[in-house]
Amino acid sequence: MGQRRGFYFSMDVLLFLFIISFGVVLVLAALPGKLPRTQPLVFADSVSSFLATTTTRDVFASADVGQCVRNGGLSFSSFDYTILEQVTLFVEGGTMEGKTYAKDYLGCIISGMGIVPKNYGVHIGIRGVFAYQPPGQTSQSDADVLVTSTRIVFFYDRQNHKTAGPYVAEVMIW
Amino acid sequence: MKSRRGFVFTLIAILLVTLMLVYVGAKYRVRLVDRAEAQGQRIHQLTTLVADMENQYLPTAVISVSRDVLDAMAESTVPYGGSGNTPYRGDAFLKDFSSVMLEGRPSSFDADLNEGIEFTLPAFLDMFVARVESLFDVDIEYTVESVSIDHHDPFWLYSRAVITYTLTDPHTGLVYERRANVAGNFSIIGLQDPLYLYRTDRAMENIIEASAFLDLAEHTPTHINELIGSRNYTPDRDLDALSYLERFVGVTHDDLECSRGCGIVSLLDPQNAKIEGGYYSFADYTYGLWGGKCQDQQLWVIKDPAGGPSPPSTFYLNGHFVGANPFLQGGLFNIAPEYKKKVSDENADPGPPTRTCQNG
Repeated sequence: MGQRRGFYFSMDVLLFLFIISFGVVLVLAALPGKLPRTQPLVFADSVSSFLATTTTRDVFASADVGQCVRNGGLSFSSFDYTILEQVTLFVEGGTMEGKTYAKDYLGCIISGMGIVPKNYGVHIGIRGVFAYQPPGQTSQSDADVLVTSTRIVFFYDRQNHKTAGPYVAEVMIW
Repeated sequence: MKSRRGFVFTLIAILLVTLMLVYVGAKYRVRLVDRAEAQGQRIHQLTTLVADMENQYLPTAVISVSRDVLDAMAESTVPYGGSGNTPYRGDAFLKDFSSVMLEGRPSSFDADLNEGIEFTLPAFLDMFVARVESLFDVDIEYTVESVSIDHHDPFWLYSRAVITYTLTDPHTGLVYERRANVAGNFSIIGLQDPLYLYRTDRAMENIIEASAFLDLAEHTPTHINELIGSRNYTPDRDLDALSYLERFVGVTHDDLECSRGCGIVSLLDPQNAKIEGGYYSFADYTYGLWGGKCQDQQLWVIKDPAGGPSPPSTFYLNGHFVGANPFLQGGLFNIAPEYKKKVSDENADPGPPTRTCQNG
């Protein structure tokens, strides 16, 4: 009698353990195991599209950003270049001054137009030529998800009557 | 007792198998979601690439090659030049423009302009397509069906190409088959004026340039009016005055006399100059010297940008006023001595006009 009771108790414990394990495995299996990438992917594309289609004229339409750019003493040969094109023109000569202009310009746009929320990190670069990361962000190496949106920068430099590029522009979001 | 134990083991086995199936199934679904997400992103990336190709990259290539070709044609196809050809008539210029764009040589006479231009359109596209293929890991095949050029307005040209291309993505099997009408506007600023090469037997060239009238304090309306007056500019208020492309087509003396063109060298873009209304041009003194006539002999007066009474209270130029005539400044351009003599002879007795030019 005692043996049989022990057997039933053991059975109960085993069943209990299986049910608990089964539930835990079900829950774990249903979890994606990693953070969803769709949102930062779409966001990186939105940022790169914004930079590739918004002109300096549009930038100056925002009073705060316009003032910030004016304060930086930047000069523009035309207001019709997009932000990426203008950044390319700044940095194409490879001078430190040009890179500073490009960073100041992007800094004004990112801080003034709020295109990147504070909980995201962003890195904007032209491969092999220029890289910009706003100050005060979390480090890329700490990021769980890092996505890149790539575009080609290739346009006609109306001032110097020549083509600029093709360069590869990258927007990284994490 | 034995059957009860067997029941328990069977139950445990069923539970284990169910557990494995659920686990594997869930993992498989996660992989499917990942794959769909990656493919969706790839499709989105390529769709953006195709849009950028047609809105930005291909027009840039067409503009760049068009400018090169126009400069090379101004240098190589003017009369008295190396080719010895007469000025173009009718559609001949457009046909030659198209064949130089595509093959580097005109169709109407034997000349190789490949050295005068950096790339033909196909060569330019080859270079660009190779870059896109390596960056995005796609295959692109293209054909340029046709190219053409026209004036968008007196100071801007409109170049167009019909390009069919197939973009294939080996990763997703996605195929984009496109027939793109690619077009772009570009300014005539920086181009070679074919009329100057023609009229001076290449002794003189004129690159159409924007002026540096940026000093608002110095270049007041009064100052600019005085500047025009002091240089003997003949005014022209005909809004249709200029045509860059016509300078390839009709540059014989008779055409010149009755052409509405009054000199590309002196032009004003109201958009930059903040003038309301259409484009205006100042007559080119050289043009008059060669027998050209402008249709309005009244002094051109700069208007108030706000449309107020003349003289305007505020006015500024930030470009496109192309300044003093080289003849009047003396020695700015290297004019051949015999040409100077010819100019002097023509100046001696201009005589009364013998033709009546019609407006339009």
